[in-house]
Amino acid sequence: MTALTDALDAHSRDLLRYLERRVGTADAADALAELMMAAWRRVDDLPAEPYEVRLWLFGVARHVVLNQQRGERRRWRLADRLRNTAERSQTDAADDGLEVRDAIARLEPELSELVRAVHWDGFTIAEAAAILGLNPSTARSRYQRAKEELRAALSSELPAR
Amino acid sequence: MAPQDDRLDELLSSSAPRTPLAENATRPALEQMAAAAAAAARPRPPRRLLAAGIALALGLGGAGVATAAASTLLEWQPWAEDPVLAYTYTLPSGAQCEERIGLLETEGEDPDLLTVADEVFRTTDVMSLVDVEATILVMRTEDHRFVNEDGTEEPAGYGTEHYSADHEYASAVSRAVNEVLVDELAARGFDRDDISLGYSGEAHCPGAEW
Repeated sequence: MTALTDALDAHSRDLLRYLERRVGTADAADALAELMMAAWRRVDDLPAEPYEVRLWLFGVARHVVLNQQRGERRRWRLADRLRNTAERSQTDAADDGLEVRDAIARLEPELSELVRAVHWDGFTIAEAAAILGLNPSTARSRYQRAKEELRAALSSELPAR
Repeated sequence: MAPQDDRLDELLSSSAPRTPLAENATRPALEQMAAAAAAAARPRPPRRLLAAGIALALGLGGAGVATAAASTLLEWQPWAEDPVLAYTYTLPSGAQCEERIGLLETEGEDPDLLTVADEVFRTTDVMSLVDVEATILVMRTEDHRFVNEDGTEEPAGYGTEHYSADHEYASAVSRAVNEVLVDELAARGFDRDDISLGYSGEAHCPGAEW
């Protein structure tokens, strides 16, 4: 139990950032609450190594995002304080990179999330593969395919080869 | 790496949406949330053990999560011996609840907030102002989930097998009281969207059917 407490204390801000990038500021507090509850319910599955615990938590976060995208949303009392912060943070939203985000979103889902994990969250391809439940070599080939498609989609933004 | 690859990587990395919540969230808020999640996820005693009482932690802007007080049913926490607000109400089952509020805290910078809030809490007849029935109607439009011990979830709330009229009513009272207190602070000049105030509450409801 202590290991999960320590891990959540260490990574909750990064997890919140991951969730906020995917579900938006307004829903991120509830998503983090959902993640924490899910993590505690599955604490028996917690890996032994701290490095693996971090990736495991992001894997749980990934499932929370998928659940929200399927329309499953819960409002958690334990998110109230953070939700209050979210309401005050709304005006800080910005649209930098909108065109690029659209291009990423138009990729097949298994490609787009790989790109987000690497470029938004700073994971290596191998780490992203672990979070997404992919074989590392499969992740590498998908990542290359995603980059090719993005290079074509964003050609007007890129220098000539 | 070719210039085009460099530029593509740069574009992709700089496209990450901003995360004002993650940047602004305080460490105590995140730690408190993790601790509350741990308590809330813990398997709960059978309902009959809870039937004699429940302790609730409440919040303007959220101070915590419901916690059971099965072993100390009629013992108030030390702070609750001197609350800033106390009120009673009757649950649908006929059980009487006494609820006490205290431990006001703020993360904001307004020096007057705690002073005014203390005065509001001590002088407002909240039960004459709450609209519990309206709050219940709102709550019935929201998603409620019951978490089994194996982690699976089922629909809860009104119309399901997990529905408890007493629990719904007690939750509605807590929320309605919260809303009244926000209204009272707003009436005294505080921006209702920027009230950074937390408080704790404890309720004893002997005989309630949770």
